[in-house]
Order: sequence, then C-alpha cells, then structure tokens
Amino acid sequence: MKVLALMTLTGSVAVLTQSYAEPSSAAHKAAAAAIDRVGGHPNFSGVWSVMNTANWNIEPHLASAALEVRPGPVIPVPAKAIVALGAVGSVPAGMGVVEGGTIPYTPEALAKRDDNRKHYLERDPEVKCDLPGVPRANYMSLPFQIVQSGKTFLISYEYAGAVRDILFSDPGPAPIDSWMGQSVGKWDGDTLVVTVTGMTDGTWFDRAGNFHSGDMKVVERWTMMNENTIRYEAEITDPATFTRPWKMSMLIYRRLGEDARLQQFKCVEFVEELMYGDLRKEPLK
Amino acid sequence: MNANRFTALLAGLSIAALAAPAVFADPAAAAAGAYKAPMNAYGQPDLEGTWTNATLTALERPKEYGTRKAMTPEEVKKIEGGAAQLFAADAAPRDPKVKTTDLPHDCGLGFSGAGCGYNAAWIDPGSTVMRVNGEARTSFITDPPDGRLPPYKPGVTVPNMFMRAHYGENPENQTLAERCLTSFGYSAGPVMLPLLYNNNYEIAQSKDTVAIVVEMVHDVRIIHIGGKHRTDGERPWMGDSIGWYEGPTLVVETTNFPQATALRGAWKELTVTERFTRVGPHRVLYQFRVVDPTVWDASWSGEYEFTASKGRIFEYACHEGNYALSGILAGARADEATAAAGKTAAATAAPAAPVKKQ
Repeated sequence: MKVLALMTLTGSVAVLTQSYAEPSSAAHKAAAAAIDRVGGHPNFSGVWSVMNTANWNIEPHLASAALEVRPGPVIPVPAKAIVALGAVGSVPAGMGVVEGGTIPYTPEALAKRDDNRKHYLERDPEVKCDLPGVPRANYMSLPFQIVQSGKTFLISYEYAGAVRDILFSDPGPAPIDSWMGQSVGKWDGDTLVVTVTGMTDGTWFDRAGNFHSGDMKVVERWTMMNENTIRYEAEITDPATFTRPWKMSMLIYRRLGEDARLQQFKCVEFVEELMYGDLRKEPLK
Repeated sequence: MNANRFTALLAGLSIAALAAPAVFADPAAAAAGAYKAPMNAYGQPDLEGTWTNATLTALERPKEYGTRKAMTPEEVKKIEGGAAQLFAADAAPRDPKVKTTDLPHDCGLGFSGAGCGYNAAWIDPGSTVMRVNGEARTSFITDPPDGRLPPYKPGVTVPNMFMRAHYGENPENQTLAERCLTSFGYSAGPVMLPLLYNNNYEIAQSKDTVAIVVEMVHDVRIIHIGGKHRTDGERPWMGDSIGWYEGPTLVVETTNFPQATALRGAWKELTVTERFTRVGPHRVLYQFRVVDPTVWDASWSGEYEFTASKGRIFEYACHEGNYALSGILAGARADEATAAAGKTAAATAAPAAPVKKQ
C-alpha cells in the first residue's frame, strides 16, 4: 500500500511540474514590458536563488530520512555517518524540475545512478566542495549574482566562489574540460540562450546520484517573466547516459532588500577534516 | 649549467621583483592625453574587460634606486633583457642526461623540491617593467618617497607565509594557498598584487555592483556601488568593499579585513582605498592608499597600470586538483615514520656499543 501511494503521489507531482506559464503568454508579455533593460536586452543583474529542492533531487520526491540509507530491521534507516544529524540530515520533499518527471537514463546509467545513491557520501562532489558545474550551480540553495552590462554577463555563485563568464563570441570547442564548462550565449528575442560544453564528468545534477558523462551539452534558456522572476530551462543532451535529450525547468527568484547581498561560502576549509583528517600528525579520535 | 637555469631564473626574477618596484602620479596627468574613457550602458566609466598586472616591477623598490621612482632606459633594457634571456634559457631543450637529482632543490622564496617546482612554461610573472603613463617604474609604492613600506610600529610582527609553525602537522597549519583558499601573496587584494603566475582579472559592471574575477583560486571581489560598510563585526574574505564613481574613476574602499589575509601584517584597522581609471583603450591606472594606524605611523600609497589581457580567463579549479596538500601531509607523516624507525634502530643497536667497549 505504501509503495502504491508513493507512486501515485509521484505521478501527481510530475504532472504539476508542467504547469508553469509559457513565456509566450499575454501575462508574460505584459510583465516583460516593465522589465529593466540594458544594452537593448532584459537586465538580469541582481542576486537570485531558487525556492525549490532540486539540489536534493531533481526528480519528484517525497521527504525521506537521509541522502544515504542502510537496511534496518523494518525499513531503511540513515547511514551511520548521518544519524547524528537527526532531522537536519533528512531530505525535504520536492515537486521535481525534470519535465515529464523522470530522467531518461539508459539501463546501464540508471544502474549507476542507483549505485551512486548507495554510496552518496563518498561520491557526491558537493560533499567535497568541488565546483558544481552547470546546471546544478543554478539551483543550489545558495544564491548567485548576475552582473550584466551592455556587453558582459557574469554569473558569480556564492557556493565555492564558482563563476561563469558568458561568452557572446563563440571561440569554438573548449580547449580543455573544466568544472563549470564553457558558456556561449546568444539572445533569442528577450531570452538568453546559453550553450554549455566542455564540462568534466566530475559534477552531478543533485544530491540524489543523478549524473552525466563528460560529453554532456547543456542548452540553457534564461527568460525574465517579470522583474523579479526568471524562468530557467535547461536541455540536457548526453547520448552516453540518456536515451534522448531531456529538459528541466524551474523558477528563479530575485532576492530583495537585505537579502540581496551575495555572501561567501568558501567550503574548501570546511571539508579539510573529511579529506585530510587521517593525515594529521595526531588524527582526531 | 642546465641544472642551474631555474635557480638563475628565479634569482633574476627575485632581483627584478625585489628590485624592480614614488608618490602618486597625478591621475589627471596620467589621463591627460587625448584619450577619452568610454562610458558603459549605465553611464559609468567603462572598466570592463580582462586585464593583467603581470610585471617585473614589484611593490617595494630596491634600495639602490633610492628615491628615484623612474628607471633609466638602460636599466629597463638590462632588466627586461635579463628576464628574456632567463626565460629563453629555461625554455630551451634540456640535456637529457640531467636527472631530477641534478636540478636545484632550493631556490629561495619558498620554492623547493626538484627543479623548485616550476619551470618557465608554468609561470607568467611578466616580461616588462611596469610603465605608468609611459614611465618605467622602479616600484609600485610611490609614497613614502623611497618606494618602500614605512617602518612598522614597535611591537608589530609580520608573519612570514613561508615560515609557518607546525608546518605539515595539520591542514590548518598550511598556507592559505596550499589549502586553495586564496592565493600566495595578495593576488585578490586589496591591494591587488601580481604573483608568479595567474595574474589575470576580469572586471564586470552593473548599476550597483562591480565584480572583479581573480584568476588565482577563482576568487570574485564583489564591490557594492553606493553601499555601506557592514557594522556587524564580521570580516569576509578580501574584506568588505564599497565603491563609488568620481568622474572617470572608480573608487573602492575596503575595511573589515580578516586576520587570515592580513596585508603585510595589517588587518584589524586596515583601510585600503583603490582608484581605477581607464587611461587608454588597453590600460587601466590602478592607484592605492593603505592606512592602518596600529601598524604604521604613516599611510603608504602606490600605483601601476593594468593592461588588457590577450584572451580570456580559464578556470583555476585549485581545490579539485589539490593533490599537493595530501602529499605534503602524507610526506610529513612518512618523514616521522622514517625518523621513528631510525630511533628504534638506534635504540636497538645502543646496548651493543657498551658490550663492544668491554
């Protein structure tokens, strides 16, 4: 019964993810007319963040006890390393951001995703404070700031000091893979379309083991719905991992007033005990 | 000879660096040519672009220049020519018979290990003496007139970043750069100072923000235009920067520095004021004034010019590839194990000696 109820609920939320207003709607057009512009384009400058739980899991999900669990006498229980966190270590529910609700993995890739979940603590690059890649950087719980002029579009992320400079002149294939990839942008009307390539296979989509290969291409569409809301879409193409291209979409909100100030989250120092603790002269017990 | 190339290279650079850096040039004079700085879409002076401050000139002036802030053409030729020769020598094919054990293992300035860690391909300290409004400079510092930091107040101590207590014992005992937290030296600043490599910056401007992307350790300085300094006692990395525009100049004032990134020992009462003025299509005049009455009786000031970088900044994912930190710690543990084994062996052998004597 519990499994059936879960599946029903999962199906319901998957449908709900399709309910965003389309950029072509009359309501959107009226709001768009009031949006500040710079260099002839909508001005995205400001501090932004999502209000969803996509960084926990981009697929629809109910709340759960932990990101990594182990078999219990009755039901799975949190992995030993998470137990002490209690409710803080649990996973908040989310409607998901994947259009259609489910990521179209190949069977082999799906098995790897599931295995990633079993070994979450040792595999999620966020645990080690690695740079997050795209699209994940955009929907982490921490905000990002866009600094846009008539010719520049810079995205500075609070998490780990990650940064992206959107290039408006295509330099050709990225000369070397990187964690944040190479972003090439062009304007499609009032939508900024950014093609991101040249990313390593070291980043994930979320804390739920969802991953990609080093051949992934991400095409982002950034559209201001009104002065304080962005509709963000990303089409993922990665034949080595997925059976077809798929999309995620979500809303991103402007931070206002005293919240509109990007802080610093240099998490590198916060993971030193995790990564190097065993190499101390006197390891802690 | 090959084995000594890098030593010579570093020695040459250190001479230029320690040797190579007078009072501000008048900003108006610096910008007095026919050049008219462009304005951006917000009506602000347009400072956007990718810039570098790589140079053979350093912050402080070598004592032999005295109070002279400009180099003679002959001095410029000697320094720039010497650097070019050293780089060419280091880039030349190395004798295949040279082994790593033949390479210099201590080049000073903290560079040690086989080949001292870097060869010419890996470094980018600049190839020219700093010009400010066309004048070749002996130092960045222009005030005091000798181009050197003013005397420290009694009791002020300045930790040497390369001489850290408990080195190798814990990750927290290592330099911020070895931990991939910030750069060696003071790349992100303020004051923003060049290093052995990665001396590139990108400036982006919106109506209320200036962002300066720092290549080294991918730091981003966020400057709040028209903002106010925080008063909550918190001290963020790189301090707390606010800015405003004065005619063609961006003025940035930074306070609330953390102790971890003290500027030549100053942090608690440190205020750095920077002035960015575009003085040519490919030049930005950078001027700075440093005040900390708890560290120096007098303020000190300086200037240099950023020049346009060729190309864009690539990602410097320091932490993600930081095998050095675990290597340093593991190496220290291995050294301890070796030393302990030696002591054990000596202790085991010790009783035999008296027996022999008998």
